Amino acid sequence: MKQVRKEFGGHAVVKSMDLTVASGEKLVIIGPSGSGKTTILRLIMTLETPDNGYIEIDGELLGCAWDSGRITKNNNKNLRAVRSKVGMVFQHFNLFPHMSVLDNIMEAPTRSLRMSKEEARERAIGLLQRIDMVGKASSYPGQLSGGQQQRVAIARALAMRPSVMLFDEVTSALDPEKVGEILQTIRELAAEVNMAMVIVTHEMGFARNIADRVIFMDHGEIVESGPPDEVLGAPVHPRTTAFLKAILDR
Amino acid sequence: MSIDWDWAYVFEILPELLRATLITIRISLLGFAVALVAGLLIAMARMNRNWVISQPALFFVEFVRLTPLLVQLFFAFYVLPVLGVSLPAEPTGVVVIGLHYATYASEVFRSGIRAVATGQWEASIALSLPTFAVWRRVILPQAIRPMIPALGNYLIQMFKDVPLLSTITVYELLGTANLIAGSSFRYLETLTLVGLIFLLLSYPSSLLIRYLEIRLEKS
Repeated sequence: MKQVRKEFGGHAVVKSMDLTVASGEKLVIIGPSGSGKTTILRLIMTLETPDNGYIEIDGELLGCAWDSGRITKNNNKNLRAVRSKVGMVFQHFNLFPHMSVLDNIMEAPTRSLRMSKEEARERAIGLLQRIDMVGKASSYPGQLSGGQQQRVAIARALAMRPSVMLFDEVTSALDPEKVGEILQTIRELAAEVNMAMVIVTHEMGFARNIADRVIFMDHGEIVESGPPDEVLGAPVHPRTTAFLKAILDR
Repeated sequence: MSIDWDWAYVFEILPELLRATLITIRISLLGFAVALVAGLLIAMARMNRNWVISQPALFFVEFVRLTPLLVQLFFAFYVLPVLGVSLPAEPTGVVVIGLHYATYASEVFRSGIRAVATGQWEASIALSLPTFAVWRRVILPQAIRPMIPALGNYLIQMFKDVPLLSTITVYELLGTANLIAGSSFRYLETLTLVGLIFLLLSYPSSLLIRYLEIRLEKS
């Protein structure tokens, strides 16, 4: 991601951001609300389009193209192909309420990747085993707890086998006792598959445990970046220190 | 004044009126099918971000709603043939009444589609679903259920508007009744029957829609 800028109503939410995520890297973004961390994920997922700059996934431009040295917008041709390398898990799960758990997971592989039903079902059942929910395959999202829904949402995103997974405050809408199971699922996933992860979270213990690198953002800028022990353990910037103190004092 | 009601005459004309009722029902159902398909297309066009698509759709909706259905029927039946487009009376009526109600149905579709949570669109994008699959598999199945009562009410309204087609020589229920009464001069029985037939069909339909409404609210 190069010089990416995003404004909402004249207010720059993300200011000229340069950020590279290595393949397989687990990057955690922390920061106060309104600091632009969720917007970064939404830009990578193409839920927002940058006002400036560009984003590349595996060396391919996302939703734009080079045209004689300049970036042009709206290159829809490669948009879907490049985007399908990115998966996202949302704060509010966003499962399809009218589809069973199994259909939720099978939908993208069959429609986006044009996989056969049998193959998609096999993949979905494999994922359900991984999140320990095979028994709920025919349930509907409304019949599940928040934690179970979020696990299904993770499986649904994984079914596309993305090279980058984005997690947007995935435990914020859950009951406190359910937070642990989701974090555990993500931790297991991080250990099993070589997939880059960009995680926005307020769970500092989890961040320290899972991250290869932690970024602290404030006012649309990266304030501090480094290994978790440095950023979370011995921050050098006063804004990072103040933020971490506020979080820990909660 | 005594009312001279002839039961024998009632039973004599009833079969023909019932046959005409079937034509009215057929026109309503075909017209409603036109209204649903065209209404959905209009709604999707109006929600398109590209104004080249959304503005003509808006213009069409305003134009159709701000002119009387009767004028539209006359125009399509008497003027379009002059311009080289000529269809038999009944198909003309079906298309005109269908497009007329499509503009109303499009508003129902629009609000129904808007009511689907934005998270559903975002999840569809995140899963890279093709646009067609997003509409058919994710958005419309969730949008249509709550629309059923409103669409049902438009079906009943349209059914009640079908007699307007008698003015362009479609022999639906009212047109047939007029023809019969015109030769026998017995307007009393004929038009009373027409009113009763409409009532007998509309009332249960409206009860059914009320029932669906209540059931949808519960779930």
